[in-house]
Amino acid sequence: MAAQTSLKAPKARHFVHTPAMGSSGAVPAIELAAVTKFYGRSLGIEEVSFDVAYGQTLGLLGPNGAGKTTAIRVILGLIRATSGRAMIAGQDVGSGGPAMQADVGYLPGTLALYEHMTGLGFLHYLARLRQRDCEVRVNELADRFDIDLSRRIHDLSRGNKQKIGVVQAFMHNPRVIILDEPTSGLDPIMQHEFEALVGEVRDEGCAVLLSSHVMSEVEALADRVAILDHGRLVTCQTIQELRAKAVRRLELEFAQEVSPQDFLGLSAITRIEAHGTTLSCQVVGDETEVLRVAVEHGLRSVRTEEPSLEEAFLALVDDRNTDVSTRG
Amino acid sequence: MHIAIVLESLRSHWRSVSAWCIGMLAISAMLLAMYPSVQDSAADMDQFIAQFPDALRAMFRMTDYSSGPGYLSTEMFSAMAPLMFIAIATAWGSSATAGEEDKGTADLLFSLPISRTSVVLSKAAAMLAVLAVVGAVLFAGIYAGTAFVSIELQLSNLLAVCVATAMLGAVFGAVALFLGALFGRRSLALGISVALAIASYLLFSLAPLVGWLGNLLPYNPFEWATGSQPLFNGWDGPGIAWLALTVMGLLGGAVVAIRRRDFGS
Repeated sequence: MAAQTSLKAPKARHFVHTPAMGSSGAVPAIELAAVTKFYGRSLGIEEVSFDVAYGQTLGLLGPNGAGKTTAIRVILGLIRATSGRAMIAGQDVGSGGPAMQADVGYLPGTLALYEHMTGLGFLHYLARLRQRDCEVRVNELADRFDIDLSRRIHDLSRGNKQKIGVVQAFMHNPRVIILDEPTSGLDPIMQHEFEALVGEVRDEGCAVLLSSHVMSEVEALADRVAILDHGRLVTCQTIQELRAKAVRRLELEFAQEVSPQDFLGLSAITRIEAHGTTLSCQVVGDETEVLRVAVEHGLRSVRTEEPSLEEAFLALVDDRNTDVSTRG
Repeated sequence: MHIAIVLESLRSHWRSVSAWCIGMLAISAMLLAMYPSVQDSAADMDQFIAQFPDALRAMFRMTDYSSGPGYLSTEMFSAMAPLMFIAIATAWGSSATAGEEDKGTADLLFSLPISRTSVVLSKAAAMLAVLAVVGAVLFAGIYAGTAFVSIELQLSNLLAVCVATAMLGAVFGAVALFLGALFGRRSLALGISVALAIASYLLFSLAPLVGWLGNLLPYNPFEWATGSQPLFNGWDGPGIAWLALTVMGLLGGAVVAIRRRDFGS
């Protein structure tokens, strides 16, 4: 894949990146520019660059240990990059001071709350530390996610703790929202509610960065996807672009028997099998040429499956000769 | 400094702070209640203690044991009170930022729009406030107790020893806070700071017996706090200054350490 090869070359990654200019031309909400992070001598992430514009959701996808959380922690200033720059609203995280976190909402991946507090006490405490009045939004979100804020956090289930984590990330109406594995522990109804919430704030102009190893979640929420693997950025593109590169299966049904030979010259086809009047083929990329030739041979029906992001993801990661497909 | 962090630290630990205060009062009451019997047999007691080996008397700084200040110096301020203050302070200091890291709440706390310096100083302020409260309770408790048993104590001397002892606790609390900021692990910070405190105490106690250990006394926080026998001699300005400077130095170190720290795994 051509795009991928260029991304793998370090030079190209530096080069394609124009500091402080996102894909929309405005200053991006979140920007990572060639960020490398070593923990002692072991690598966290290497030369990772991506950005998120306001009004956009970027899904950070990758198997466990790929560096998603490291990238997020660099953006939040919880860890310092070994090299490269992380920026929020065009300001360097390292030198911007704590004020720039005022406009950021963050849901940690391994969420830990102050267990001795009640839900309300906890949210009030964070609001006081943020020096913001969040009461209206807190009540609204508590209603929406059906949380009893009067109970001690210690006594809440994992899912309910996660809901409180969601509320604290959104309660001060931040313009930049960073969510690390946000739906872990949420039941399907609450997951749906959460997806709606992310969609709303995105439409209101917020930038959302969310990490996940669950493809369906990213597929439902994200406009663009950045895929990390072994600390490196594999690709960063829109869901549509990614899907177009995905491997799909086409089942072509003909009026009479056909020979696979007639289709072998087509570049989109990576594998083909004939069973009587049926041709099963594996296709990558644009399939119009395949369909045109099929029509010439008397095509009667086509069956295809919309490729899931998972397939696209596995195809990309497999391509890098890694063994992560089972872990993803 | 962020007042909400200070208040929340105090509020969420009011039970343990109360328990320490009650403990201090109970020990003071017990010691004071026993004093009349010491005083009644003052002549015998002084004679008895005179027979102690010099080494033992020196170790427990037994000056004029049957007098009020001598009795309290030996029984309360040579070991009991310092070790209690150190226990409180190291528990607070080690759980300051390392406690947040251990519990996993550091992620949220340090992603808020508050500087790391401010978080550390707020936690330190809470620790110092607790030491001040417990110190005040000890001072008030002993002072009130002396009304019931006839102990002649100079108020300012009692204040001097309470302040010095609480500050001695603060030194080791600041050690724990600094180590916690440096390593991010509560148990490590607590272990090393308590070990340092015990080593300092032993060196201080044994100094009168082992000649060369005496050379180390000028560097020992116990010496700064209680070496000059404040209950007899009042405020020890240089000693208090050394304690204060050490606390400030360690807190400065904690600020530097936390600003350089990478949070999380």
